Amino acid sequence: MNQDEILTKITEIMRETFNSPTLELTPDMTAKDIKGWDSMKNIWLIVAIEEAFGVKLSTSEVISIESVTDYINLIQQKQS
Amino acid sequence: MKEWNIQSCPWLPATPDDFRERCRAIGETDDDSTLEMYRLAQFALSNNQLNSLARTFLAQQKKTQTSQLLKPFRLGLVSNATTGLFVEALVGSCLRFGIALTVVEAHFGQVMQEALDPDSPINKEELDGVLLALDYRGINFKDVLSDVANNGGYEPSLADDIKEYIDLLIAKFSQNGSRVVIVQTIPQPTDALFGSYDARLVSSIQRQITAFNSYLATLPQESGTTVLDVAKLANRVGLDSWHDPIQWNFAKLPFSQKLVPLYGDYLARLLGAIRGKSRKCLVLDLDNTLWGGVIGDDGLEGIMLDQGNAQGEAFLAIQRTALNLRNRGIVLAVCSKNDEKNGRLPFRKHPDMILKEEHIAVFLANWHDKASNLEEIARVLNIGLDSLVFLDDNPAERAQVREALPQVAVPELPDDPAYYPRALLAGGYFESIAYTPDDKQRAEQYQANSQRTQLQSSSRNIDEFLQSLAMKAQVSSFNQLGRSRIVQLINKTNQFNLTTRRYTEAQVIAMERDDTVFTLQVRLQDRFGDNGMISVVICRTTGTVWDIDIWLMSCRVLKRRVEEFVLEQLITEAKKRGITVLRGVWIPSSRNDLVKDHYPNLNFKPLKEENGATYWQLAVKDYTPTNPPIVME
Repeated sequence: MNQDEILTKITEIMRETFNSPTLELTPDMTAKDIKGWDSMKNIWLIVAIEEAFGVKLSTSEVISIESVTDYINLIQQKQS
Repeated sequence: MKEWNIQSCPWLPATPDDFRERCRAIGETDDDSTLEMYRLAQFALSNNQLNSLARTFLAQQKKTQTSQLLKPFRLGLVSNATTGLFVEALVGSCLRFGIALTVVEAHFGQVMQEALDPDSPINKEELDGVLLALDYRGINFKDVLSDVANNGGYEPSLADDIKEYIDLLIAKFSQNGSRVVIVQTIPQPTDALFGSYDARLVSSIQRQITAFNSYLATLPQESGTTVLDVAKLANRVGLDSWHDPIQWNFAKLPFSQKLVPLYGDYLARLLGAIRGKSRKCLVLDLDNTLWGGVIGDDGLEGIMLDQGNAQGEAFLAIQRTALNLRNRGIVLAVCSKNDEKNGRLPFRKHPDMILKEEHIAVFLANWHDKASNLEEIARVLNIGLDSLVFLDDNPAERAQVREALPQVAVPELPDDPAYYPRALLAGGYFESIAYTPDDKQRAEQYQANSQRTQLQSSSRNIDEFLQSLAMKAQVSSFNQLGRSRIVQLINKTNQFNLTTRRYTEAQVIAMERDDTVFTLQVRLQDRFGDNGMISVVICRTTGTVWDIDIWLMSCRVLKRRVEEFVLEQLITEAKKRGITVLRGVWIPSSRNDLVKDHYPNLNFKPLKEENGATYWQLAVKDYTPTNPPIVME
């Protein structure tokens, strides 16, 4: 999957997870920029992302994620 | 072939692509959309989809009254782990079983404080039940090495302080039995300190958890407890998938959150069972469902049903499953596109058939569409469409039935019939919270009923028919023997139920001991068999007046003049006790229109009408005997 495809899919997942149907993601966005993205909801988000992309994130990876770009890079790296 | 794995709830059909649009459409209308939400709940929804549906439902609930399809349940949730993440999803899962769930969460990690503080959310709120979801990591199990000196060979026993802990929690949360307390069994952890020796070491966590779960199983029903067997669920999933150490470390999440849809379904079906929503009848297709091949084309010798042949064994297994269900009281019916003669042929002639004609209460083999036939089956058995489960190998037939009759449960079946029993039973359609001798006879009773229907059509008139039934009744006040069935009737009966008041087992026990409460249970037999307990009445005494708190009857004995017989008994008992007036009320629900005129039909005089409820009374001296054709034993 290329970065754009991953971004589109993550957008879809975040819209559902944060109940915000019109959410538009840009790669530089962080948890601060998205309403409802707290540490708890982050777990739920990770579960959805793991299911959608068929990957599993480690503890240190979960901690290291700060922005949408981080997610995209991680997923791309794990899928390759 | 795709692997059949319980984690993804494979008995549920895949969520359609327009799921989100359908949720949005519900949000935009003010009409009652309960049925549409119920339809959406039947799919294999993901975490986020369950949340979306739950939010759609909660928004609707604020706007309009949601319809009769759903029964409310207010659940308190107490845990020593994190549950807040999946509470919303549970609301979505519960819609699948016709339950409108409201969750009240206890303060995080304060199980005992929550129980002891009378002002805690769980104690203060009006609740129907409390779920006690304990994680082993928060229970004070004794040290693994404490008993090493005298280990081995002993029966595992649960430490007294843990027993006391559980007993106290149940006592407090049940509020003297007025609420159900649902206690979860505890899954084993993944790891063993010694290896296989953990299975023998008395103080291993493994044996302590086993003892804990056995203790839950032995809690008396009278304590108002029900068990949610999470340990079994975790075993089925596999403990390595169930426990996610990363999620536990981040947020004390008690199990992998990708399993929320499965867990939610397990909880929802239990709440459904508590609310009397469990299904009663399994309807079976024939060709390629009960045997391999097509009887009309392949003939008796051509169909696959033989022992020792892997394909034949698969069909024998699903027949055995169906027969086991019938033996526990689930009614069986057949609905198949076939000539009737062909459809019946294997039942009559095939030596390997496990199911026989006598096991099938309604046999419909014809060329009508299946939805119409299912409606006919529900009509003949006098049960709702929401009591039916339909098993059919043909995806097109399944889709047609789901579309036409959303209330009928239709499990998805995998391509390989070897998995049919698993797919059928995994759906939890027949979930139970108790099992009474009456339940066991249920299937036979429904069948006897269709025989009665035949006698009725051959009788010249209704009186002659009732006389020929030779009905005999036994009447007594509530007692321990009848108690489970009484509680079941109180909580399940919808149609012939004047007040639809629900009571827990503990409340029923309290009434048995209360001198101001008069209770009556009625059993009925006739020449076709035992109908079991069919009517329950509770009267509360004020001076010389009896207020009829509950009057209900099983619909299986409608139009048999049983209510006249019951009134006759009430009058007799009232006279013995110096009661002069019986007062009754009809409180309308969405399901009890049937008994709107119950009291006027029995010559009660109108008193008043209030909020749609009608009040009636009968002076004992004004009672005129009507001599119903039922003999008292």
